[in-house]
Amino acid sequence: MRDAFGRAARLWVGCPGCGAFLEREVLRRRLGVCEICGHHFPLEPRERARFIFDAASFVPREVRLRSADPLRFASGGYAEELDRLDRESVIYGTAAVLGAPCVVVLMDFGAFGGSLGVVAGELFCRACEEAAAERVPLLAFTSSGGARMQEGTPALLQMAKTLAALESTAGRRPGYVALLCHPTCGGVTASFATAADVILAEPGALICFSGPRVVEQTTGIRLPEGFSRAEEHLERGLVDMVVPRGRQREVLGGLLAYLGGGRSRRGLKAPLIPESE
Amino acid sequence: MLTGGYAWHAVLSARDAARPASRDYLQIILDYFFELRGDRCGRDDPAIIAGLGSLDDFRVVVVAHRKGGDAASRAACNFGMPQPWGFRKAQRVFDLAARLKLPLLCLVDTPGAYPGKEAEAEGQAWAISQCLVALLGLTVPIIAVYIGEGGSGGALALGVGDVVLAMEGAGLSVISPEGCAAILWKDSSRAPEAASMLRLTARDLLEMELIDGIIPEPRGGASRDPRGAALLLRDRVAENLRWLEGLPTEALLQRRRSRYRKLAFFTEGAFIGEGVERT
Repeated sequence: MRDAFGRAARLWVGCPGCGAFLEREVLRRRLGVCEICGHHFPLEPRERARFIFDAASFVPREVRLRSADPLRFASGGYAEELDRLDRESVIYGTAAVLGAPCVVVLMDFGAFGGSLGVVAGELFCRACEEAAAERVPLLAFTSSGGARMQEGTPALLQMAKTLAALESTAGRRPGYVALLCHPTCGGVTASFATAADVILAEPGALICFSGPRVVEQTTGIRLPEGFSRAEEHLERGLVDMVVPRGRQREVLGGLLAYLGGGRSRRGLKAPLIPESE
Repeated sequence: MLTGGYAWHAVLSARDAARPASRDYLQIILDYFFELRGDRCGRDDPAIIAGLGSLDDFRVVVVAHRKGGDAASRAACNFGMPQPWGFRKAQRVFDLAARLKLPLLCLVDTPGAYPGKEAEAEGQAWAISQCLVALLGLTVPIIAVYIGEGGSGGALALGVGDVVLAMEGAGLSVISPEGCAAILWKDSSRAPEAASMLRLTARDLLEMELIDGIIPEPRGGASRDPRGAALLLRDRVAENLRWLEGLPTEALLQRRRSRYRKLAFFTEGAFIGEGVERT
């Protein structure tokens, strides 16, 4: 799951959506979207940045932070894992989409399951503050298993920390757009992911507080197909739009330009407001 | 049991049905209480109790998790596990406190937000983040007291404030010790070990400077002497209300937000986190 395209040996990959075998190189060119059923494979931040942002516009911030391992977590070799994996679950930087500048936060599910730990929380806050300083919108792509268990209550409190940064910069930032990707769970969903001014989601993304397995185990109820997925949240009014990858540049470009105060040029083809379906 | 002894004991005592619940505390510390019901969107969640109260010379708006007392009321309150409409009820009462210009007192005691089908479908995560945003922007003083179980996001949704205290036997954890043990060792019976690793007791929280203080419990714990515990809690709340009252709104908000913003637990300079450009 970590690398849908991997430079690894295998040339073909099975689609979890329709079972078809897809050629990796083709899948990669199609932004990780199955050409048969439209299933969206998880994307690494690097891949996402490559197709969303204008060429060479993404400038990631080099930040040297290391978790102090506040619990001195005794099991699972957490400290060693921190050493081994020389990256964190959040990266941020400045970028532009169709010419509209923004500060962007990308979560990396491949790093500690995208979990929100003390470093990730700090990086989100810094992104927020940079957006305020630069007077550009904030854009976040979320993908996370939730607060980082190995960092205990300090990790849990990152929910309050990230929201505190959002709140104290709210008057100076020209808007915040979140695009919720598969999967966005727990403390991330229950903090900055759903505190955005505009909430978008990728097709088929699982977006929840408690995961379906936990709900099934607790309640004994079998959950239907599509439970807690982006499309259901759209129907329930919890997200503003489900945006397939092929349209993300156009949609984000328009939104960021609008929020940034620029004049949006009227799109020629599509009606501004489609008929209700 | 050597490892997890103290922490696990604390977890069990925080869960103890004999331990005073929010209703027991409120019964003792308040001189007046008018209960406010419902989320104003068509639902009422008995796992949240909210209302207008007076405590010593102060009028306070109160929001708390409600666990219930006997078996029947515990079930009726869903064991203190709120649904989204419970958090929405909490949030609308937070906002009411600001409108009435009255300080807010929150008592936290929950195993966590309810992991139910309807709860998820109706936006549990959205309801929690909106509670947190409301608390971080509330223009009146907030005192939050952890009185028992502090189960993750569902606890934090009522547990953010200007002064955050914990009863000696209370805690706050990112995950239940059982859940943690299940993830680490696929064996939830090792919860006692996990409990001590999670550093979730009031002592740990104070040591990590995540709370401002501990309210001592009478000899033998709050379950032995609920009245004694409640009076200690009342005095600490009153004492803090007194000085918070004097803070101008802007200073209050800035202080509250920077309290959370300043949480660190990381070191600078030791780690290259550039990520994207790396191949």
